[in-house]
Amino acid sequence: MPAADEQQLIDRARKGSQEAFRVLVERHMKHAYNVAFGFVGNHEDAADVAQDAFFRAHRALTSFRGDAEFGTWIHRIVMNLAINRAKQNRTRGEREVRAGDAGIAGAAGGDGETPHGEDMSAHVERALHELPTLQRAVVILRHIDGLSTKQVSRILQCSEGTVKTHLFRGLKKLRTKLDYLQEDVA
Amino acid sequence: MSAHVREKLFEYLTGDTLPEEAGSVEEHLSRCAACREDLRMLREAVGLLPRRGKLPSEERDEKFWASFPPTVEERIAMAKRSRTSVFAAAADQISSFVHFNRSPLLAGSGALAAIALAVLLFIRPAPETAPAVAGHSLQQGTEAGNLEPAGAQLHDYLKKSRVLLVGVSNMRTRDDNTFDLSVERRQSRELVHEARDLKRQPLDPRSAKLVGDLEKILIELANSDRRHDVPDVEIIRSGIRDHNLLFKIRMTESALAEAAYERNRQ
Repeated sequence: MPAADEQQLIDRARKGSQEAFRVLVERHMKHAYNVAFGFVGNHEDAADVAQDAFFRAHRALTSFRGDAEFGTWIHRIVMNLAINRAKQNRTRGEREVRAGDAGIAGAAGGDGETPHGEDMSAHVERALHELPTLQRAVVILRHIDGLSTKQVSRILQCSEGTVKTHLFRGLKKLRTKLDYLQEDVA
Repeated sequence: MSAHVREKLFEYLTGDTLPEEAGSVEEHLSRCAACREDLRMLREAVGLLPRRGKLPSEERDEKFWASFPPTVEERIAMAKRSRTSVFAAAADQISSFVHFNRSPLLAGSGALAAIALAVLLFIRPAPETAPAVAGHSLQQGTEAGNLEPAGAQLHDYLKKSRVLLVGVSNMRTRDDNTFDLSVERRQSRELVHEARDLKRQPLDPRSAKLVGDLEKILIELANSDRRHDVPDVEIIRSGIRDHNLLFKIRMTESALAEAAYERNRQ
């Protein structure tokens, strides 16, 4: 159940209060953004997906039954949109590293230095984006963003065991992909 | 041999395992070559991956977060604006008709006819041989004998274009807020070819202009991405609305039907 004040905000937003809806957005926007980023892996799409999720939530406010947290509801919307966006990006062949959005690749090595030069960080980025959506989300949220297994399981609404399974498979696949990509370059 | 510990290896690597659990993992690793190999692969993967050290949201500045709620509100407002009602569309078409026929008498009768047509359009699809709208016919600048084959081709082209444009106008977004235009793109390409062929035929000036206006929209559709976001499709829809294409198609179809009826009667 939503907290009492949140329920009031939802009720007011349903009646058309823009101010109340704005408070809801402000409360949940950062978490929504982080969830979106876990799936899409870049800031531009994460911003678009998170904003779209609130837009859709506003449109569907009347159907929000209130038997779950507003936050959980919005994160579910974000997740669905983000999974779709990630699939679209894959279809459109937008797996390449985005210029100016090297948040992941640029930080490779932990202190900004890449052990194998720029090529390697680009390979890491590419391999990461070629992982199946859920595996990528788990790898990004759990390892790169440093969230705990419990936090990731709550975001993705699955068990901790499932998170661990996806993490193991994702990392293993990533290593295999990197071997392949390195051979490709050599 | 105890069960494999694959799913515990990441936490073992990052030091997040409880001491007693770490002991059992190590004990298993000492006996299991497969898990040792998995550990080696994981260690390499983890070594290659960066650690952000902060959440993605922390990488955005205050300015971004300040503009986030207004951007959402802008989307909501834009969606409200784009939901033009059926009545607004009908009013738009009627006003266009009035503007089209400058004589007050013609404008009055035309407006009445347009109201009747608008009602017909939105209540049920008009039959293909519907009685012609009064006061509107093809210009007689070309001989009927010359127009006949082109008229049949034009009628077919307009019918297909109308179905396509009605589809685009009423299309709903998918769950991911995009439109799948793959079918529309294919049909548009076919219609663009037909339009080029039609333009070589003897057409009255009004039909020729309509074919030209339609061609622009069809080319835009044919060249579109397979999946479109809402704003892109809104541009195409506004083109259809701004040129009153659906209305003009209906009028021309009616005129063609009237001409065919007259020919049959003679």
